[in-house]
Amino acid sequence: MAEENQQEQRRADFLAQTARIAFTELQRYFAAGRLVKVSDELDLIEVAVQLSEDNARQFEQWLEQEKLDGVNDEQAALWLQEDRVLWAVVADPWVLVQERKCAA
Amino acid sequence: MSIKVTIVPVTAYQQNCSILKCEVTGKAAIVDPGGDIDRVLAAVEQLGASVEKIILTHGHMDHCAASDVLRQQLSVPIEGPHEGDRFWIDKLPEWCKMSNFPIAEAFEPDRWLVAGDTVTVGAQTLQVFHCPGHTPGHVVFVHDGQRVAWVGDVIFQGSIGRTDFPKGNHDELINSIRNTLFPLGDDITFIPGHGPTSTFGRERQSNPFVADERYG
Repeated sequence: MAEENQQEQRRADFLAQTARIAFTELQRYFAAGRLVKVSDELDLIEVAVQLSEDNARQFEQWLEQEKLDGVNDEQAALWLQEDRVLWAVVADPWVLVQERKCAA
Repeated sequence: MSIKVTIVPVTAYQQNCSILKCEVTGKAAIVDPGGDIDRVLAAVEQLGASVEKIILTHGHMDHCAASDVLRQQLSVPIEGPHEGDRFWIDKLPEWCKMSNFPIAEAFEPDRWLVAGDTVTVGAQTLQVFHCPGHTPGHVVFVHDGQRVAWVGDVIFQGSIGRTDFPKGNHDELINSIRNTLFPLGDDITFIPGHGPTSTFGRERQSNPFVADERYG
């Protein structure tokens, strides 16, 4: 029960910290190799929660399914060229980003 | 105090360019000038230093793109990195264009470095360590007296450099960190290419990529 509460709290914390941010503001994290691209098929907050819980098995599965990936130079150049705004949340040491379009 | 260091984050990548001043002679080196020349020179002036050389950890644009312009402007030599990074420096115009950096021309350093070399700054001596992995010609500078290292993009607080580049090699990078840098001592404070400083000891404890716990 306590564990579930902790997970819910973590989920709420990550949700509160998630925001849309221009890639130009994320370039410093890209240069330091800290950006991880999360597929639109996944819930960004759930990925952050699983990362914070060090759920290696889940991560291996997502990596195998190519639902998570590092950001390469070609992707970065494209985002820069298009002046893209991304959803982002910090799950230290990573900054998770997602291209999902804003519904609002 | 034998050296004084000012860090100037430069370019959109906020790369940590350092001004390293010998307090005995007033001579200085600019470490990894990737861009923002005006801000770098303002920091030099504020330090009251006289630049005698530019030193480079590796050949990525955010670390070296302003080097050649500064070399010409200040009439000082460029030392480093290791020649393994020649291909990166040759590709500077292409990479700058792709990443929307101010275009920089390819250049030839005045001195390529190898492991075991030393670099002087005024009356100070830096030891040179070859640390491939992020790039094949990456070097690290260590001031033994003050226990400070300039590690470029080899290791950061809490993470390590990317290895998804041409000639990047994850195993080599881990080997560079674990077997070349960590044996230098837990007390060494390092200035990384991006983000805050840390110590080798702290990273051995808590860096998830290279901590002792992970490697036994």
